[in-house]
Amino acid sequence: MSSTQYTRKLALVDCNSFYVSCERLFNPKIRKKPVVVLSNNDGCIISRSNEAKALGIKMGEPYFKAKDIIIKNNVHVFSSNYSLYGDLSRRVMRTLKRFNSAIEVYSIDEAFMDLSNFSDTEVEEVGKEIRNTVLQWTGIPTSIGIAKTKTLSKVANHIAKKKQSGVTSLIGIENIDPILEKVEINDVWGVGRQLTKFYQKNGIYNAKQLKNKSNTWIKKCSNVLGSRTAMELRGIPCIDLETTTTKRKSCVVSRSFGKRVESFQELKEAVANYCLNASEKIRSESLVAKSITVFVRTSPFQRNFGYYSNSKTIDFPIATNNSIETVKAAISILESIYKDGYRYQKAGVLLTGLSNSEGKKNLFSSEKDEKINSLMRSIDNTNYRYGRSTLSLASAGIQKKWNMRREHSSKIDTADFYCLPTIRA
Amino acid sequence: MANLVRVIHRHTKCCFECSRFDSLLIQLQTQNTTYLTLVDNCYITKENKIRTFMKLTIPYYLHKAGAGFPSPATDYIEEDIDLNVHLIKNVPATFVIRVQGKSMTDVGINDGDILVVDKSLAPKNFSTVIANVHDELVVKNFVQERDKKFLTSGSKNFEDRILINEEDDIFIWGVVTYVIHSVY
Repeated sequence: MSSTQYTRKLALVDCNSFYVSCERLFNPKIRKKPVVVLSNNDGCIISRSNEAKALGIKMGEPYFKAKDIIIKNNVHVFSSNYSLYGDLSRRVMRTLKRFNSAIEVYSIDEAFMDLSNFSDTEVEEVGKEIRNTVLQWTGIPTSIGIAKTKTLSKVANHIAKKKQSGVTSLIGIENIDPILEKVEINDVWGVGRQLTKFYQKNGIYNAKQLKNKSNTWIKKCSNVLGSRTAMELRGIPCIDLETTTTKRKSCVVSRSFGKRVESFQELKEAVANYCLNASEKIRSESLVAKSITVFVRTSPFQRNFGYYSNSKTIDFPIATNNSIETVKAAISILESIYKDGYRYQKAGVLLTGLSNSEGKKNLFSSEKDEKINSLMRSIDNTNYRYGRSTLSLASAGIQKKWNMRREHSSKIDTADFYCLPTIRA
Repeated sequence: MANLVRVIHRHTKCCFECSRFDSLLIQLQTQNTTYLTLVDNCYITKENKIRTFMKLTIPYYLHKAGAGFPSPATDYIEEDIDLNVHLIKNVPATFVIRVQGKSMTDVGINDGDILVVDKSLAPKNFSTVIANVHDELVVKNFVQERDKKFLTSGSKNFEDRILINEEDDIFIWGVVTYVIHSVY
């Protein structure tokens, strides 16, 4: 490690209860009320406001289990509205990019920023400036933790979450042991459930204890990643900012159905739709897929109806992102794995072996390919302009009985002209 | 710096050795324009550059060097007008919102109109704003009188003015920058 790296300052910007904050943006009535957002199909609770956390509602808890608390306390419930969250996430990230620092978008609601250009004394003020700008511009509250390494900035972010100002800097603090002592080992970034169990068995219960363990011990007992975490806790950067997004290797679209699906026709429509979504997604990133996998399964919790799960993969003769071809392939797979008499709960499509589509021509390319490509482009443009599924394939169906359950959706989309938020005048 | 593309017409060569012409119609190429120039009394050097003694330039904007009068607008028409560029200055902070209700018709905002709202701006006096009033978002006018700030509905009725005080359930959410109203 060269000495210059020690002056590194990384900030982790994390949106507070992101999905809940998105729902609150156009609905101030729920500003100080307990709110939860449910996962696809209204299955589990995936985002909670602080008020909901205080009621003891757990992250990831199935909706039906928390229903009693929810009804008793008048908790506001929302189905997930990913197009809204996606748009607001993009706005937050674009706002962060205005600060001219290297940025790594880590997830839908988190980003790392390199603030090394600022001095030790001003960096906390910069953090506050960033927080205020994001709040003013997008209406999304964030917490910002600043430290020498990614792992430490995650620790700082934990502390910032509990502070009024929402910003914590560990830069310039000589002895951070008292802080690390309060961080439980399972809250340390990069320590998963298995590793937590292992560390606890060996008497490591908090971040300070891990920091002070010898590298050789950690390396011998866990792996290199474990020792990397310990090094990072000591303030030695081991995990770099990944500013360039690596192109994806695969693309999966799968959903649980709103109600159980039995008929081949309905299953076919669902698979065709997932196929269209997946193809559109890889087209938007100018990728082509080499092979396609389709999988179906029944609910593992309703064994009395019989359990069945199967999947199959086939290769395309030529890598493609053409919806017509992927749907054709997917349906032929489905025909071979579909079994009559089961109540299917989930299906999905996986496109793999993705590679860049630009300038790819081979012996079998023809003028027809160009025509199909331009057809796909017009479909994508139309759907972008007039809303999803304006143009679709007939095999994808029109009624969509199998569609997801979304009983509590706010139905607002800031990026869709036909679902704009309305405001009273 | 213009580069010589080709000589279209030469007129009265005076001396072969120095390649000097009385006048020359040439096609020049700058970074993004092609144009024709009439040059008087000049010669072409070995490096394909033009030396002039007297210059008269008539720029023609070229569509395609060919027959017919070239379109004079080639240099200006590049893309369609993109309203996003002109109506949205701060992309991440700008929201498009639909109006519901008729309380603002006096100030030209009708039921069903589209508002372009910039959350990053501070309101000026008489700005139209989206405000949070008792935990509901509404369209209002922002009025400042000495040190007091009010929200009004555009009507002259003074009683419906709302004072913006320190209470946190009345605040400005964003500033309306454009109203899009269909008249067809």
